[in-house]
Amino acid sequence: MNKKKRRPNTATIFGLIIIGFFVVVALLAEYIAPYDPSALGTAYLPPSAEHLLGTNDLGQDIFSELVFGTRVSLVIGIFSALAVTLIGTVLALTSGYYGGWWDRLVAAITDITMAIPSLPLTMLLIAYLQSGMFSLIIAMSVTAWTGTTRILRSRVKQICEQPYIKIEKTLGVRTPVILFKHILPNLKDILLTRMALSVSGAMMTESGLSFLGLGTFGQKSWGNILHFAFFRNSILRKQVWWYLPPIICISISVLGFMLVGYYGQQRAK
Amino acid sequence: MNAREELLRTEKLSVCFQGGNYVQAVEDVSLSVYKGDKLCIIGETGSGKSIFLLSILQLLGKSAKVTGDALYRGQSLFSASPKELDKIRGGKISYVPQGSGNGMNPLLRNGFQVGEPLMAHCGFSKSEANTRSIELLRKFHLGREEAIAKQYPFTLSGGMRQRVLIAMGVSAEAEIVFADEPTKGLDEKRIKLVIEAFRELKKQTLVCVTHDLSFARSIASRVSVMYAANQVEMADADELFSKPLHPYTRDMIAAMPENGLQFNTGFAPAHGDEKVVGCKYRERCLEHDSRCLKVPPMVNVQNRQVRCWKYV
Repeated sequence: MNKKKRRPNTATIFGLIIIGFFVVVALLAEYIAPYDPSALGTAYLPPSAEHLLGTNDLGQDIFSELVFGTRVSLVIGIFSALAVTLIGTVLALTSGYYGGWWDRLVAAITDITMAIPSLPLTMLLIAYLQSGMFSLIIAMSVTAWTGTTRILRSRVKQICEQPYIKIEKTLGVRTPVILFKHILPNLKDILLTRMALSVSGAMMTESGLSFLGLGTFGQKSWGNILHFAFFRNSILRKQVWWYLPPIICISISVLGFMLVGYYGQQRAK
Repeated sequence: MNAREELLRTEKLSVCFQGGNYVQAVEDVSLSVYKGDKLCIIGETGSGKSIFLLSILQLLGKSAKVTGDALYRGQSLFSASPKELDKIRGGKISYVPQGSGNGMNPLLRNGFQVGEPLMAHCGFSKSEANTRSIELLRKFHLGREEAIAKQYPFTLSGGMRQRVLIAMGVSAEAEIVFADEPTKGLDEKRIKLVIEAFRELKKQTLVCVTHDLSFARSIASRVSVMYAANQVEMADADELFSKPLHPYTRDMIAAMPENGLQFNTGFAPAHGDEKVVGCKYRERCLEHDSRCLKVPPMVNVQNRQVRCWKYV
C-alpha cells in the first residue's frame, strides 16, 4: 500500500502552532496565571516582576485576565463555529439533496438572513437573551450560518449530480447512508475550512461585542479587557500594557485560524 | 412464451427532454421481460437504449418527461412511493452503470462499495459484506482481491473499475440486472470473463444494453433492436442473428466484423428532427417504398415483432 502523505504548507503549520499554543494556554489557565483574575489589589500598577502586565482599575492582574480570557474567547469561538457548521451542514445536505420546495425555502431564508445586518441583530438578541456565554453563542450563530450553508449547498448539489450518487440511488442504498457516508466525506475540505474561518469570525464578533459591553459579564474575555481598558481611559493614560496585549492576542489567534482556513480553501480548489 | 413468468413490462414508454431543444429519446417502447431472460437491447449510439433503462428506474433528471408505464410484477414503478422504489431498485432490479469514470465514490474503499447493496438489501453486516465482496471480485478475476477491496477507486484502471461496478450491480442478487454497456473499455479476454459471469447468473434475469453485437450474440436469449428512439425489432437471439427481418437489423448484422464490415451509409436522424416523416430508417433503407412515408406499425411475424411496412 502506497499511502500518499499530504504535507501541509508552512502557512498551515504556523496556523496550527498558533492555535495549539492558545489551546494549551486555555487548558492550563489555572497553572499559567499567577493570580486569580478576579482578585482585587492595588489599582493601575505598571508592569513589574510581580505583575507582568500591571493591574487594571480594580487592581486585577492583567496577565492573569489575559490567560483566563483565552479560555472564554476560544470556547465561544469554537462552539459558535460548531453550531454554525452544524446548522449549515444539515441545511445544505437536505436542501441540496432533496431539492424542490425545501431547497428554495432554504435558499430564500439564506438570502434574507444575509441581507440583515448581522451586528445589530446580534446585539438585539443579546439584549433580549440572558447574558452569558451560551446566549452569546446562540446570538452569534443566528446570523453567521449563511455563508457556510451557501457554499456547502452548492457543493452538495454538485456532488449529487455525480454518477456515483445516482448509482447508489439505483442500488437502493438508503438516503441517510448516501447523505452521511457518500456526500458528507466529500465536503470534508470545505467543512474544515469554513469551520476554521467561522472560529476566527466568531472570535472577532465576540471581541467586538464584549468591547461594546455586550459580552460575557463576570467572565473575562479579551474583548472584555479591552472594554474596561477603553472606558477607564487607558489610552489617554498611556497604559500600553493594558490595551495592547488583548489586541495582540485577538489578532494572532484570528490569524492562526485564518491561516488554517485559507490553506484548506486552497486545497478545496 | 406466455407460460413463463413475466417480471417486467413496459407499456408505450416514451421519454422526451424539454430542456432547451426538444428531444424525443425513447418513443413508444413496449416490451416484456420474462424470468430467466437474457435480453439484449442493441442499437447505435443515441438510439435511446440507455435512456430507456434509466427511465424505468426513474433516474432521469427533471427535464425528462416520461410517459407510458413500467410494471414490475404488475406493480407500476411510476406510481410507486420512494420507499417502495428503494426496495425495488437494487433489491429487485439492480443496475450496472455505463462508463467507469465517475461510477464510484472516490472517498470510499472498493470493497465497501461493492458490499453496499448487500448491507442495504440482504441485511449483511459490514464484515460479512466485505467477505462477500472479495468473493465477487474474485469472480471477475481482478487479481489481489483482498488488497483491491481495501484500496480506493483511483488505484484501479478503467477496465478494472468497470468490472468492480459489475460486481457491485450483481452483488445483491437482484431478480433483474440492468447492465448498461458492461463491456465498454474491456479487451476481448475480459469480455469473455464478463460473458462467463453473466452466464453464471442463471437465476437472475438480465437486461443488457450494448452495441457490441458479438457480445450480445453470446449472452442473449432475446434481442431488442432500437433505432432512433424506436424499437424496430424484437426476437429470439438465434432467429434474429440468423434471419433478421428489419432492414436496419440486417444492415447492422452485415456490419459485424465477422460478416465483413459492410456499413450502410448515413446516420440515424437527429432527435426531434421534424423533417423526418414516416419510417425513420427510410432515408438509409435500400428497400423503401411509398408506404414508408407513414409511420410503420409494430407487427407480429412468426412470434417476433418488427416495425416495418414490408411485413404488414
